[in-house]
Amino acid sequence: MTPDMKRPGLPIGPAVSPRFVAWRRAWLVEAGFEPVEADRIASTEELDLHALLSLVDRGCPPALAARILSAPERAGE
Amino acid sequence: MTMVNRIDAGPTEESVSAMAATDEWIVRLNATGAVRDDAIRRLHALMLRAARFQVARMHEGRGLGSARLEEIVHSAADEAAMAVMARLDTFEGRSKFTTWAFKFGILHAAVEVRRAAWKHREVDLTSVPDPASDVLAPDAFVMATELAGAVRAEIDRSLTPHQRRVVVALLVEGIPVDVLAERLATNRNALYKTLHDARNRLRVALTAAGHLRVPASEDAIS
Repeated sequence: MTPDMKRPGLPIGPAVSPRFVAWRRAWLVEAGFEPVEADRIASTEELDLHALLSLVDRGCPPALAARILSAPERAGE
Repeated sequence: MTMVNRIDAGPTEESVSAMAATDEWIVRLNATGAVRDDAIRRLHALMLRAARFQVARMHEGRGLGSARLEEIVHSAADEAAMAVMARLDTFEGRSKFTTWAFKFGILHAAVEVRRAAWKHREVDLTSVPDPASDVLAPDAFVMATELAGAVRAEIDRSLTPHQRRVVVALLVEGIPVDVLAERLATNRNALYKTLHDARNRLRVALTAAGHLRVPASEDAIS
């Protein structure tokens, strides 16, 4: 694995291209996420975006979908 | 571990030699200390050769530059060597050990090159291509254009927003599934499932609209 490729679950470090984050953010905003929430989710790899967007597809409000798929400690914040 | 030989002819000198070499690889990789370390070094060298071979033949890597490609070769060789060690007990001896292991190097190099090639590319959700007009006869072109238009319309109408994004990314833009999975922090199987569901929806919609024939089995039932 090259140094700038992170495993899911690790936050994206400065080595990751901003375009990569922007790409993820665009998918989230298009799916109805508030820009601030989209920024937060796009800049980490804590959430499975595919599972998240599939939940939204089935009618789950974006913010609730993010809470459902967040780690328990984050959901309790 | 078994090595299948022809019963009528018995093992040839060549097959016995290959079996012995394979046994030696397995024994050394399962040993401890300097013997194992040496075997792992040899395995890594084999993975480097496999990765170089694969990287050199992939057109996706041509724009990456020689330094980046060399980085990819080494990264893929590291990953492949670890994968071989993790799966050593699944080797069944149906081929030479080096042939079996070589495929790990090939696979990991291919994945790394595709990832690198797609790392900075973005998906244009509006770019559904038209059929290539220069290779079709006029009547075939008209039919293909109609079908392409119908597919485009059904992608918009019949798929959910996320299904549409996944279909466009994988089928129109041609992003490799492992690259898309990495970008979405998900796994390939989840994307394959979505793609499968989306294809079914499109097939049903296009069949209902008369653009595709009803499958013979369904015809017989109805």
